[in-house]
Amino acid sequence: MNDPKGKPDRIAQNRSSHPESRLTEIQAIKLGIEIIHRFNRAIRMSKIYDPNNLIFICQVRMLLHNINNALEGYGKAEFSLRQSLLLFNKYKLKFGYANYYLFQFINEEFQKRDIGELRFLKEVKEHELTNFVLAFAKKILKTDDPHEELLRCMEQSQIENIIAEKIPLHEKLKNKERATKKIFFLSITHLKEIFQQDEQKTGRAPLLTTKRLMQSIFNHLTDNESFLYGLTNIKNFDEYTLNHSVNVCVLSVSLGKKLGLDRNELVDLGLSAFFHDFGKLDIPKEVLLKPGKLSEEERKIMEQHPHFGAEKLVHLKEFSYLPLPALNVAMEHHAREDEAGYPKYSVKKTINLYSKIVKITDVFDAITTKRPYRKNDFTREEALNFMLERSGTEFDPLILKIFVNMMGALPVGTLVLLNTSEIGIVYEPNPDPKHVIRPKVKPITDREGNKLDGDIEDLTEIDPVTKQYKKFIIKSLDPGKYEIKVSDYFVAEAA
Amino acid sequence: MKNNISPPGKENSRESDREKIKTVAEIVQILVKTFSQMKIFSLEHENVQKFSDQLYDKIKAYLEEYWKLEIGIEEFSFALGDNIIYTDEQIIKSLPFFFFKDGMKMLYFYKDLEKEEFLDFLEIIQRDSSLPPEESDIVSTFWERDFTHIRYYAPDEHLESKIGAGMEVMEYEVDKGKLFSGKIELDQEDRQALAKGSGLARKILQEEQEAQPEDSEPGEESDIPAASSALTESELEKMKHLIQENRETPQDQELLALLIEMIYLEERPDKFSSTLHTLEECLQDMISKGEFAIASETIFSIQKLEQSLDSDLVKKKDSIEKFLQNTRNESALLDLKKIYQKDKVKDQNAYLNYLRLTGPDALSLLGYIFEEEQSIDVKRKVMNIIEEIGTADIPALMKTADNSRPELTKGIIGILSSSSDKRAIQYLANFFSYKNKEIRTETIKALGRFKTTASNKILTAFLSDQDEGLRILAVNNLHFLGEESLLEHISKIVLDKTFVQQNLAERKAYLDFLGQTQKSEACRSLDTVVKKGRLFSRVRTVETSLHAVSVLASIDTPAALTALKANVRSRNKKIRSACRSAIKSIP
Repeated sequence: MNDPKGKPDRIAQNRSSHPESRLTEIQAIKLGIEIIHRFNRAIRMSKIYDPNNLIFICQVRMLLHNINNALEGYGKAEFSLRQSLLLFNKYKLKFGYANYYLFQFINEEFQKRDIGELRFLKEVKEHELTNFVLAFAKKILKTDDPHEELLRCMEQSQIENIIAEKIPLHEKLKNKERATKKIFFLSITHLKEIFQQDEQKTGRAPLLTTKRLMQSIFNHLTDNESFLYGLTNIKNFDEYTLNHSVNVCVLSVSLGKKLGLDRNELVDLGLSAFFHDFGKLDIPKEVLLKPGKLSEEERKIMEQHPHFGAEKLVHLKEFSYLPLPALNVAMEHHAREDEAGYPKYSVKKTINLYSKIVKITDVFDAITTKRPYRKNDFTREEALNFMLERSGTEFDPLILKIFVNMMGALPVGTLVLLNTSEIGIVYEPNPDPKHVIRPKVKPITDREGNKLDGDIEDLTEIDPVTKQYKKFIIKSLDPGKYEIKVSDYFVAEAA
Repeated sequence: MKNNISPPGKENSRESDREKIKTVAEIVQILVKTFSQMKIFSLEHENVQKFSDQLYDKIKAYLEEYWKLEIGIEEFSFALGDNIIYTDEQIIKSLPFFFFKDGMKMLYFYKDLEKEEFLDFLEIIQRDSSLPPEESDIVSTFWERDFTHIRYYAPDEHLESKIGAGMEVMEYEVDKGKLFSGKIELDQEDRQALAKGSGLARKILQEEQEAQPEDSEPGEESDIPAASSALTESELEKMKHLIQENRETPQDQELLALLIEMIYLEERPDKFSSTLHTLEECLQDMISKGEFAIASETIFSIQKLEQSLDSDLVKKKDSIEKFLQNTRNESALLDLKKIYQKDKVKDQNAYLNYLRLTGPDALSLLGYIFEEEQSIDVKRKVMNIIEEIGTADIPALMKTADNSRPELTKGIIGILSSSSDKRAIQYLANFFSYKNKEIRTETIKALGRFKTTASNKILTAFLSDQDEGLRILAVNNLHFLGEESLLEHISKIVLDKTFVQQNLAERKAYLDFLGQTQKSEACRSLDTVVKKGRLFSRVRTVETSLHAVSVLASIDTPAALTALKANVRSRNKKIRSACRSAIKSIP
C-alpha cells in the first residue's frame, strides 16, 4: 500500500522545533480567522442595519480592531487566495468543522469578485472599512464585471488603504459550473472505462489518473461545493452503478471534509467511494437489474458483491496505488452499526471510518434514485428523515448527524415553494449555520407559475423598507408531482 | 508591487521588463542546472547544494522585488509572459517537458518562500523525475504536498486527454428553451399550504428574528469566531477521536485482517487460492519487517479456518495446507532465522509466539535461539514453547536434540522426563549414544525419576560406562522393583574379582543398591563380600567388606542378621568388630 503522506513533513518538523515561531503561526491563524469572522458579521449586519446603526458600527470597529492588531503584530494584514488555498499574511488558514462556513464565505466572496488578494494598509480608517463592507455587501449582478464594480465603488468611497488585487486571469475558471460539470461526467466515463477494462480483462486500471481525478473533485468541491451537490441529483445517467458511484464519491468527499479529514485522506476516501460497488461487476445482470423483489437465493448472490469488490481490488495489478480503505469500503459499505448488515465478519471486529461514511452516502444516493425494483424514490428531505430513523442501528449516529447538517434542512436540489408563490430550487445552503432555513434559491417559476430562468436569490436578504426577510420558504415540493427533473436546472446552469 | 510584464509603449517599462526577463531567465537556467545535478547526485551532494543555494537566493531576491514569480510552462519551454526564456526538446532530460507532461501550465513562487519548503520542492522533483513516466504525476504530487508559497496551475483539460480514450464521453445536455418555457400549476394541496403556511411561516420567521438579534453586544469579544455548530462539545471530541483512531490504525494489520475475512467469505475455489496467495505475500512482507504480532494473528486465523472447514471442501483445505506449509518450509524458517540473527525482531514475545504457531518445524530454530540467548527469562520462554510443541510431537523434539547443544538437549531430556508419554523412556534411551557427559548425566537422572523396570534396564546399560561418575550415578538412580535379573546382574558385578579395583564410591553405590533390595539373595552376596576381608587382605578389600557390613546392618531382615552373625568370627579384627557392633545395634 502506498503511503499518501510520503515522507515526513520537514517543514512542519522544523517549525515544531521552534516553539516561538509556531506560536506566532498559531496566533496569526487565529487572528486571520477572527478577521474573517468579523468581516462576515459586518457584512451581515450591513444587510440588516443602516450604516449609522450602533450595532453595525460596533461590528466594523471590532473588525478594525483585529486588523490593527494584525498590522501591529505582523506589519501586514493580507489575505491571499491561491487556488483554494487561503493565506493570512504568509500562513495557511486552517478551518475546522465549526468554522468551515467562514472559509466557504470568504472563498465564495473572493471568487465572485475575482479577488486574489486583499490587503489592509497601516493607515486604514474606520470610514474606509465601513465603505468597503458596504461595497462588498452589494449584490452582484450577472452583467457586471464584479472586480471592476468593486474597484469603482471603492474609488467612489475614497478607499485608499484597502487593496483588492484581481485574481490572475489564467487562475480563474472561465465557467466554474461548466468545469465542474465536465469533471462530474469525466468521472462517470472514467469509471466506465475501468469497469470495461475489468470485464474485458484488458489493459491496466489507470489509477494514477483516478487519483488525479479525485484531487480535481476535491478542488471543485472546495470552489463550487453546492453546484457539485446539485449535480448529484443526476441519476441513472448511462448506467446506474456508474452514476451512483460518482455521486457517492462526491458526497463522501464532502462529508469527509466536514468531518475534518485532511486533503490526502479525502482523496483516499474519494477513491474508496469511487470503487465501492466494483463487486457488482461480478453479479449476474439478471439479478443486478431484476425489476422485482429478489428471491432468497438472489439476495444471497447480491450480498456477495462487497467481498467480490474487495477481491477484485486486491487482484488489480495496480493494487499498490490504491489506498487500503478502498478495500475496507468495498467490503464494509453494507455493514451496520447493529452488526445486522453484511458481510458477516469472522474475526475482524471493527468497521473502518471511511466505510461508515460511504455507508451513509451510498444509502442516501440509492434511496433518492428511481430503481426498477422500487415503486417510489425518496426526495432528499424524506431520505434524510428515513435515515435519521435508523441512526445508531444502521448508521453511525455522529457521522449521520454531520451528514444531515451538511445537506441542510433543505438539501441542495430541494424543490421549494416560496411565500411569493414562486417555485424554486435550493441552489446553495447558507454557509452560516444560523440560516439553515434560508438557503440560496433559484426561482424556476414566477408568481403565476410561468417557468423562467431566475437569478439565484439569497433568502437572508432583508427588505430595506420593512426590515423583514424578502422571501421565505413555505414548504418543499415533490418534484415528481410536477414532473420536474431537478438535475436539469443544474446542468442548464453549466451550459 | 510589480507583478506583470508592462504593456508596451513606455521606454522605462520596457527596460524594466527586459531586466525582469533576464533575471527570470537566469533563475530558470539555474533551476535546470540544479535539476540536472539532482539527476546525478543526491540533494545533500556538494554540487546540488551549491546550485540549490544559488537558486534559492536568486528566487528570494526576485520575490523581494516582484512578490511573485510566474513561470509559464510549454511543451519544451519555460516562458515569462509571452517570452520564451528556456527551451529543451530532449524529452528525457527536459525539465519543462517533465512538468508539461502532467498538464502543468504555470508554476508560481510567492514571497515568504522558505528554504525548507523550497528544498522540499526540489526533493519532490528529484523523486518524481526518477520514476517511470507511467508511475509519476508531478501535478498530483504537488497537490498532495500542498505547498504554501509554491503553487501551480494545471487545468482539468489534462484529465480529459487521459480519460475515455477510444470511447464516447457522454454528457447530459439540457434544452434550456424547453426547460424555461411552460407553466406549473400548483395542485390544491400545495395551494392550500401556501395560503395557510404563508402567514404562519412569516410569523415564525418574525418571531425568530425578534428573539435572536443577529448582532453581538457592543464591545463583545469572542475568542473563537462564531462557531455555531449543531454538534455538542462531546460530539466534536468524539469526531476528533474517530479520525485520530482511523489515522492510527496499523495499515498492514488492517490489510491482513481484511484478506482473512475475504478468504473466510470466498466460496469460489480459484478466487480463494489467489486471495490466499495475496495473503501469503502480505504475510511474508510482514515477516520481513519483523511484524510478528500481526503475522501470528494471521497464522492463527488461518489455522482456525482450516479446522472449521468441512472435510468435503478438499480444494480449500489443500490450498490452506499449502499456505501453511509455505510458512514453515526450509526457506521460510531460514528467513526467520536470519531475522533473528539480524536483530530485526520488533517484539520478541510475538516472534516466539509465531514460532509456536509454526509448530514442530520451528523446533530446530527454537533450539538455536535457546542456545544463543543470554537472558534466562527468554530461555525459559523458549523452552516452554519447545515443551509445548515437543510433548505433542516427541519424534520432532528428539530431532532437535544435539550432542553439541548440551544445554538445549538437557532441556529436552527434562521435557521427556516430565512427559506422560509412555514412549518417553525409550526416547531417553537414545541419549545413551550421546557422548556429552552433561547430556548423559541428565539422561541418567531423568531415567532415575521414572522408577520403572524399563528405566532400570536402560540405566543398567550405563553401568558399563567408561566414566566412573556416570556409573555411580546410574547405580544410584536404580530403583529396585523386584527384578531378579537386575539383582543378579548387580550381584555378579559385586562378586566379580575386579570389583574391588573400583573406586570406593562406586563400590559403595553397588553395595547400597543390594541393601536397597532387602532381598536374601542380596544378603548372601553381601555376606560373600564381607567374607572376602581376611586377616591380611588389602585395604580396598577390607573397606569393601566393612561397607557391606554397614549395608547389612541397614537391612532389617533375618537373612541380614544371619550374614552378620556369620562374620563375627572373621579373622579380620575390623570386620569382626563391625559385625558385632552391627548386631548390637539391631533391636
